[in-house]
Amino acid sequence: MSAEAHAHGHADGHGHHGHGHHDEGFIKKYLWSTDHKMIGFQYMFTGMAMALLGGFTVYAFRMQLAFPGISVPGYGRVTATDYNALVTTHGSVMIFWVAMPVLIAALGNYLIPLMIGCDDMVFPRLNRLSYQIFLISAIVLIASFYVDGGAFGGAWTSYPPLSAKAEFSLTPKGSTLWLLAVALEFVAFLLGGINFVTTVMNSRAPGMKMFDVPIVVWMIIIASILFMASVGPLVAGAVMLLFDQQLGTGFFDPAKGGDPVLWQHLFWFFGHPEVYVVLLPAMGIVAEIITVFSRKKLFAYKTVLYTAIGTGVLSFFVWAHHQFIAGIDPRMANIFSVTTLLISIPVAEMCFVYIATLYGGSIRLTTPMLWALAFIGEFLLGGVTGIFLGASGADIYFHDTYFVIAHFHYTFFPIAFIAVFAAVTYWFPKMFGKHMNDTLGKMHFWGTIISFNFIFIPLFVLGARGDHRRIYDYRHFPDLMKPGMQDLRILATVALLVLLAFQVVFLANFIYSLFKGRKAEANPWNANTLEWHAPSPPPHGNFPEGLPTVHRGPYEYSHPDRQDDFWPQHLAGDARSAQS
Amino acid sequence: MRSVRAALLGVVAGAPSSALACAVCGGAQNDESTGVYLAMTGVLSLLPLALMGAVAFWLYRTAEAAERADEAQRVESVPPQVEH
Amino acid sequence: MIDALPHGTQAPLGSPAKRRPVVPSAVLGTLIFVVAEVMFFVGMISAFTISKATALPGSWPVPGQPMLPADATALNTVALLLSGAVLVAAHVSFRKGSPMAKWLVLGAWVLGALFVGLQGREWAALLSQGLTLTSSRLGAFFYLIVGTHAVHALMALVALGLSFVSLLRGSTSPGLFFGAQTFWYFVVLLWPIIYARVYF
Repeated sequence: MSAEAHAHGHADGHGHHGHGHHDEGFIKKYLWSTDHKMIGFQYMFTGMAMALLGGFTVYAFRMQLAFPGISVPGYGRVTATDYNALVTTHGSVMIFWVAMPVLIAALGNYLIPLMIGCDDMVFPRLNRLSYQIFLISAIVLIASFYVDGGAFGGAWTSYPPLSAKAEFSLTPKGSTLWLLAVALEFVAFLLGGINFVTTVMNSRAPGMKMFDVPIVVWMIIIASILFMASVGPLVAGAVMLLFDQQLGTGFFDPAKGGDPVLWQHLFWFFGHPEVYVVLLPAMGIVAEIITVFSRKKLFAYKTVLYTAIGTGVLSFFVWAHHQFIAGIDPRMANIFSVTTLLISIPVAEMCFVYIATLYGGSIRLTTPMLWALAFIGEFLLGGVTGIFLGASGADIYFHDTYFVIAHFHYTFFPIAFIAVFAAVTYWFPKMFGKHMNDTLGKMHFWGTIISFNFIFIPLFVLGARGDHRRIYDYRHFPDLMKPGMQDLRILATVALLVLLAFQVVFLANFIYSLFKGRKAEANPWNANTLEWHAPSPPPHGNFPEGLPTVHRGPYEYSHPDRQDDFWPQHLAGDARSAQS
Repeated sequence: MRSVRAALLGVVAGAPSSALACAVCGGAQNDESTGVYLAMTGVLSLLPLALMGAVAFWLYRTAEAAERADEAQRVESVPPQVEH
Repeated sequence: MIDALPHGTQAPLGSPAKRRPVVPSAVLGTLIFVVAEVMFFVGMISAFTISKATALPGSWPVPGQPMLPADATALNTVALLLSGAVLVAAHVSFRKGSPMAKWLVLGAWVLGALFVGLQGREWAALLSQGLTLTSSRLGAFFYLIVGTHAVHALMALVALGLSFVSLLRGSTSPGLFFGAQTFWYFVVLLWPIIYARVYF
C-alpha cells in the first residue's frame, strides 16, 4: 500500500486541501456542484417541494372522501379518474420522492462526509449525476399529469393487469411515465448508495474504527445496502411491465399465459425491505438526538448496530405478507406470518435501547428532542398495529381496509416527517449557520403531533368497522355509511387540514431562520460527532483547519473523569490531560 | 429451546396443509409449481444476503489485515508524542 | 470504546490526513453495483422459472415455436468463458508489471466481441423462424433475459476497450482497469447460469 496513492479518498479527481474555498459562479455553486453538502441540499429542497405536492394531493382526495362531490377549494371537482391519480401520486411521491431522498440521499450526502471526517464523497461526480437523474425522475412524474389520459391511477403498488393494460387503467401514457420515473429514481439511488458505502469504507478519518462511526451513518449504510440488494427484482419487474404496456408482451397478462401475482412478488420483494430502508436512517437520527439531549452514552452501541443488521436480514423474509389474500400457498403464508411477527423483535429492541438511553439522563426538551421522543412513541403504535396485519388469519379481515392505511401511516409518518423534522431542527445550525426559532418550532411540533393522531386514530376505528379503502364515493355503499362512519371521515379530514396548516408554521420558521435567525456557533448542542468540529456552515472542503483525527467513540457524554459533559471525537488525549 | 423449535416447525409444516383456504391454489393442486414457487422464494430471499454477506466478509478480512499491518508499522516506528 | 490513549500521531495541520482505503474504490463501487445487477437478473430468471413451471399441461415447450439452439450456443459460451480466463491472465501479468498485459486485455476483448457477434447471429436466425418478443412467453422471456445480458456485455466491452486504450497509453492508475475487470467477470460468470436456465 503506497501512502501517496491513498493519501486522499478520491477516485475521480477534484482535490481540495482545506485551504479555504475558491469563488465559483452561481450555477457552478448551486446547480452543478459536486460538493456533497450542496447535493444534500438539492435533494432536501427537491424532497420538500415534492412533499408539498404530496400534501396537496392528499388534501384534494381527503376532501372528496369527507365531503363527496364538492368543489375542492384550490382544486375543483375531483372526478373518479382524478381521485385514482391523486391517490397514486400521493403514495408514490411520499415514499419515492420524499422519504427516500430526504432521509437517505439528503441526510446521507450531507452527514456522511462530515461525520466520518473527510472532505467529500469518494465519487463526487457520480454524486452529482445521481441528483440530476433524480431531478429528471421528479420532472417525468410531474409531466405525467399533463399527458393524454392524465397521471397514472393504479396505486403506488402498480398491480397488473390494471397497470399493464390501457383499457383498464385509462392512462396509456401516464402509467408508462410513472414506471419510467420510478426506474430513473432507482438508478439515482443506486449511484448514491454505491457512493455512500464506498465513502464510509475508504474515507474514514484516521483513527476512526468501525465502532467509532456514528449510528446514523451506520444506519444509512445498512439502508443503502438493503436498497441495493432488494431493488433488482423490482427493476426486472418494471422492465417486464414496461414491455407489457408498450410492446404487447404478456408477462403479467393471464390471457397470454402470464401471472399477475408474479408482479406482486417482484414488487414486494423490494417494497418490504424498502420500509426498513427508510426506517433505519430515521432510527439513526433518533439515536444521535437522544444521546445528545440526554447527555448520556448510547446504551449498547453494538446492540443497536447488530439489531439493525438483524432487521435488514429479516426484512428479506417478510414480503409475501402482502399477498396473504392474493392466492399464495397457505404453508408459505404461515412461514411469512412467523417471520413478520419476528421482525417486530429487533425493531422493538431498538426502541427499548433508546428508552434505556433516556433512563437517568439529564434530558433537555429541545425541539429536536421532542421530535425524537415523539418518533419513538408514534412509531411504537405503528409497530404494534402491524402485529394484527402480520398474522395471516387476522389479515384476511383487515386486508384492504382503512386499518391498513392507518397502520402504515403510523409507521411512515414518523419516519418520513417526524424523524426528518427532528433531523432538520437538529442539524439546521450546522447546515445554515443559524438557529431556528424555538417557540415556532415547539408550536409546529405540538400542532403536527396532535393533529396527526386525530387523522389516523379515526381511520383505525373505521378500518376495524370494515371501511374499505380505494373507494371514491362512499355514498354508493350503504354498508359503509352506517351511523358515525362519515363523521369519522370528516374528523380525519379536518385534522388533516389542521396538520397541513401547521406545516406553514414550519416553512415560515425555516425561511425566517435562514435569513434572520440567531447566528449559530460551531457546536451549539455540545455534541461529540465530527460534523460539530467543522465551522457552521462548513466551507467547501469541510474542515479548514485540516481533516480531523478520531480518538474515541461518538457517544462519550458525561464521562466521569471529565469536567465537560461531552468529549468530542477529534480531541486528543485522555480525560485528565485534555480539558477543552 | 428445542421444544419451542419443534413446536414452531410443527406449526409451520403441519397445520396449514389442512386449511387450504386460498382459492387459487386449492383448485389446481399443481405440486410442481408450488415447489418451484417455494424454491424461488428461497433463492430470492437468501441470495442477496449471501452476496452481501460475502462482500462484507471479504471487506472485513481486508480491513482487519490492513489494521494489523498498520499496527505493525506503528510499533516499528514509535514517533515522539505530538501535542495538538 | 473508551480508548484513552491517542492513536499514533496527529496529522500536522493543513496536510491531508492519511486515509486508508480498504480496497480500491473503483472495485468496491463496481462490486456493489454487480450485487444489485445479480439481483436484477435473478428477478428475471426466477420469473421465467415460475412462468415455465406454472404453464398449463401441453403448453410448454410452446407449440409452433422453434426450440432454442442449445448446442450452437455452447460455442458462444466457450468463447465467453475463454475471454474471462484470458482476462484473469491479463490481471496476473499486470500485477507482475509485464507488457503482455495489454495484449491479453485485447485478446479478452476480441473473444468477448466474438460472443456478442455470435449471439447476434443466433437472434437473427430465431427471429426469421418466428420467435419474436410477442409470439409467445418463451420469446418474450428469451429476448428479455438474453437481451439484457447482451446489453451488459456491450457495456462491459466498452469499459474493457477503454481500459485497453489507457493501458496502451501507459497509464499506471489501475482504477478503471480493475473496475472493468470486476464488471466483465460478472458478465462472464452470469452467462452459464442464464444458459442453463433459459436454453434447456
